[in-house]
Amino acid sequence: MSDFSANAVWYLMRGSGVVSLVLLTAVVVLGVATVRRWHPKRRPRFVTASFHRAISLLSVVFLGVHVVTAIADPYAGVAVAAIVIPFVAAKSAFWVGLGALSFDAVGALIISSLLRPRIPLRLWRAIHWFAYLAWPLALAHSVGMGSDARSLWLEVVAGACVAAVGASVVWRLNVERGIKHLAPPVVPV
Amino acid sequence: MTKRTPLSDRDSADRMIKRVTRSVAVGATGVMALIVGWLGYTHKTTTSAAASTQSAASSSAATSASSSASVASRRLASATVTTSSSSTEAATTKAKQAAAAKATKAKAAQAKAAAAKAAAAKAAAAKAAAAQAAAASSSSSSSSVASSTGSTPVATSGGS
Repeated sequence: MSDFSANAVWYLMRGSGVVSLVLLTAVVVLGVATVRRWHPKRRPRFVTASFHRAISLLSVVFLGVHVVTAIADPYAGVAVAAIVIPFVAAKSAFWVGLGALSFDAVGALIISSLLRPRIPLRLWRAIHWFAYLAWPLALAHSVGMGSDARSLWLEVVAGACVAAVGASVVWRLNVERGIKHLAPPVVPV
Repeated sequence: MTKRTPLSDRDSADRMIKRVTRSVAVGATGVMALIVGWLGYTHKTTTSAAASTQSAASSSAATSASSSASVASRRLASATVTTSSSSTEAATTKAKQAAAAKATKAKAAQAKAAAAKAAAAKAAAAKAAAAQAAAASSSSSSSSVASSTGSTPVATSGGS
C-alpha cells in the first residue's frame, strides 16, 4: 500500500493524460459536428456547440491535472519551463516537446476564446483552426513516450481516438461533397 | 430567415447539456481512477514477481525502501512487464533496459557484499567456536587427569 501511495502521483499523471486525450478527441469530433451543423434529433442546433465548449473545458481540467502531476512527480522530473517551451526537457525532450506544443495550442485556444468579443472573428477562427493541431500532437505525445507507450490498452485507446477523428473527417468531407452534389446547376441565361 | 428556438426547448436543452456534461465529468474521473488502480495493481504484481526472483540472490536487497529504490523498482517493474508479457510489450526502450540493468547490477552487488559479510562473520564464528572447543577439551582432559589421580579438580568450570 505504501508503494502505491509513493507512486500515486505517477499513476495519476498517466491516467489523467489518457483521459485528456480521449476528451480532446471528443472535442475535435464535436467541433467537426458543430461546423457541419449536426445536432441531436428534437434538439436545437446550439446543443452541439454547447457540448463542444463544455467538453473542452473538462479536457482542460484533466490536462491541468496531467501537467501538475508531471511537474510534481520526481520520476517524470518535468521542469516548469519544459511544460510551455518545447524540446527543452531533460528526459525524452522530443516527446515532452510535442506535449508542450499541444499544451501551447490549447492555451492559445483558451486565451483567444476568452478574448473572443475583443478580437476579429477571422483571427479567432484562424487560432481555432491552428488549435486543431493540439490533437495530433497530443496523440503523438501519448503514443511516443511514457511507460504505457507499448502497452496494448493504450494502443487500443489511441486506435479508437484515431478512428473517431478519422470517421468525423470523412463524414465532413462526404457532407461537403453531398452539398456540392445537391447544389442547383448553373443554368446559362 | 432563421427559426428561433422556443424558450421551453432552450431550457430543456440547457438542462440536458448540464446533465450530460456532469455525467461525462463523473465518467472521465471514474475512468481515470480505474486506470490509476489498474496501474497500481499491475505494478504491485510485477514488483512482487521481480522481488521473488531477486530474493534468490539476496533477501536483504529487497527490503530497502528508500525513494531511490522505489524509483529503481518502478523502472524494474516496467522492464519486467515488458519482458514477461506479450510480444507487443516485449519491445522496450533503451532507457528502461539500462535502468533495469543498473538496478539489477546494484542489487546483485549489494547481495554479493551481504553474502561476503555473512561468510566472513560465519568464518569468524567458526574460528571462535573451534578455539573455545579446543580450550574446553584441554580443560576437561586436565580435570579428568586430576580426578583419576585423586586430587581436587581445579578447572572443571573451564570446560563449560
